[in-house]
Amino acid sequence: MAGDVVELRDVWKVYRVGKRSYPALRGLSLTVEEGEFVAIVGPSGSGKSTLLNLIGALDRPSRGSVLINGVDISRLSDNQMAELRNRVIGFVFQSFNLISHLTALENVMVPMIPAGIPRSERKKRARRLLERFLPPEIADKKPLELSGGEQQRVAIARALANDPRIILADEPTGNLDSRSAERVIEVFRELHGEGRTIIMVTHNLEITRYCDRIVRIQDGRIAGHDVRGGWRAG
Amino acid sequence: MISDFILVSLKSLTARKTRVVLTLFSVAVGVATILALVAQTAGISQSIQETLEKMGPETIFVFSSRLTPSDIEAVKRIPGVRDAEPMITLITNVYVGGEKLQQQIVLGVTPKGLEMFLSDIKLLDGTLFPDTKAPLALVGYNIGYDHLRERQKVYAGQPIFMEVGSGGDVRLVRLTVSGVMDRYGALAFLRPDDIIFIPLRSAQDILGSATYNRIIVKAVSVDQVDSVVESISNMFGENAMPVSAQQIGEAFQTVVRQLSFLMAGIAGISLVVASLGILNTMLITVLERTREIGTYKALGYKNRHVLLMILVEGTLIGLMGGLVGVGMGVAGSLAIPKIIARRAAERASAFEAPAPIGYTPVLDPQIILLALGVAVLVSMLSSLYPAWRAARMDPVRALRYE
Ligand SMILES: Nc1ncnc2c1ncn2[C@@H]1O[C@H](COP(=O)(O)OP(=O)(O)OP(=O)(O)O)[C@@H](O)[C@H]1O
Ligand SMILES: [Mg+2]
Repeated sequence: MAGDVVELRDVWKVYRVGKRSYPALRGLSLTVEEGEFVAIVGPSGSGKSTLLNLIGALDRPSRGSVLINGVDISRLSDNQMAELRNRVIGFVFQSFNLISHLTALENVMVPMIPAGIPRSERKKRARRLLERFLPPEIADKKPLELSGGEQQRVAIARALANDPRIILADEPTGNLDSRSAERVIEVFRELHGEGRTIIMVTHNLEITRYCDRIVRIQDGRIAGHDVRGGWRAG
Repeated sequence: MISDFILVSLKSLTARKTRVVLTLFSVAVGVATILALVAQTAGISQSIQETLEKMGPETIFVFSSRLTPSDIEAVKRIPGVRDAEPMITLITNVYVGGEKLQQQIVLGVTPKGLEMFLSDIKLLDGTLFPDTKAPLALVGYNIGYDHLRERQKVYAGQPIFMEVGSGGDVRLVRLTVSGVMDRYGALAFLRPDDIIFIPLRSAQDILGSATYNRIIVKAVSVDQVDSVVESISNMFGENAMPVSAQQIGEAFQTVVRQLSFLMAGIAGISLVVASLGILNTMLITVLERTREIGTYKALGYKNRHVLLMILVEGTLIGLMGGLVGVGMGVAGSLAIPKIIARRAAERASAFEAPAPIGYTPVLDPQIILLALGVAVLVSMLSSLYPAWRAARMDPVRALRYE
């Protein structure tokens, strides 16, 4: 238990569409250990993003429990969930979701404001994070002036703004060409090397080569685990 | 931390310049309207008050068509009357240095009557006239001074010509300018700067008449005014109408007060329009930026942070609009009386007709601050609902929004 940072027990997520309800997750259980790099794969509509949103405290399960560092997120208030997202979790999206009117540097500073980091410190930290993955001259560019690969690396720097231990990524290379994707994969491997827990939804075979584990999802349930090449039934 | 949100909000405002500027302008127009209207009504009110004080609140005018010297004597004997002097008003065309002044007011007065009327007279040129039959004239500042070229244009000794008679029997009477008056000032309902004064006896001589059509009366004190007005009214019945300066002032004040209600309505409407503009802009903003709001939430912004961001944005529009509006309002306030004066220039008259009121608009710093405060408050209130909508957005849905 001590090593588990993420634990889902018999989780259901039921979406209501008009009068009908649609279960996107149907009794899913999963544990992820600290420092693990987990890839989540599965057909479209199988519930991968839904799962990631629950782990990221963006949403609450309809049934079952989601524990992050041993804390059940169902018991947290909206504000406490926001704090969790701010400090413990870093999000990376398929479509980058950078704030278009802010520069790369300012984007990286965005999560530091609610964390209460002083202004002078914010700038220093953001610059350091950006320069880990990108040439320094992009700092003052707006997202639209950057390539997709650069944007995604800015987004990763932003996800790291408050030094979270868990990084969640929903198809981070989905919108990138293979060369840009490679650079991004490189970055994730580096973060893994630092001992961060990474949970990533992906179809990219390249990434799955570096993962500790591949979790297959089908119809809102775990269909199986793939540990370093060895197959383990769900 | 609020200062951080203000910075972020400012950045997002500059990203949507056109719409922000348009909304800002609607606020500015609202604020400018309020300021200009308040400044005008306050200015008019103040000018009326000053006129009363300058002329003396114990002054009474008697309007009639035919008054004889014995009528004047009778008025003088009324208890509470300190003094009374006859006057003759005529409105006619006057030619001054090749310029035709249409419907010019010419006032026949004795030196004493002039003193009772204006109390303190300064001259640019020449002298006042004595009690005489000679055709002399004392011209008001606006007639004797060229505002455009900023120099005197009528001089003592210069002849001017006045039309006398009516229909086919019009003749020109030559008057000699004895003096040019200096600026008397913005008097609300009397405009001595626009009048030509001539000696009373000269006026009678020119008109070939032994009667008068005005009396200026001074009561012993302000509290005697009402009883004097009543006595004069009883004495002449239908044949004369006594009006105290105070009554004239009050009549004007009543009109101003009613106008200011109307103006408050206009100002209110323009503010409602401005606030609907902000509401609309901010609702569109929130909708357009749904994904962005979802992103902020995913990155750990609490509902109140999002609320604050949108609220600050809307309020900044209000503040900037308010500042622009104050600028426009001040400029407009100062321009309005000049525009009124110019349009009414040919129709200027003192007692008769709707006299255009000369005044200086009053721009009270407190009113300016108040207008600014109202702009900020209104914009804050109008962005409250959009901000609340943004704050309670579900982050997952917001992030899925296309
Ligand atoms: N807010 C919602 N309301 C209703 N149905 C939803 C909602 N979000 C997801 N769903 C449904 O739940 C199911 C799972 O959605 P989810 O986004 O988790 O799939 P996914 O595995 O991420 O698919 P993809 O690979 O296409 O991204 C889908 O059938 C989807 O239509
Ligand atoms: Mg998905």
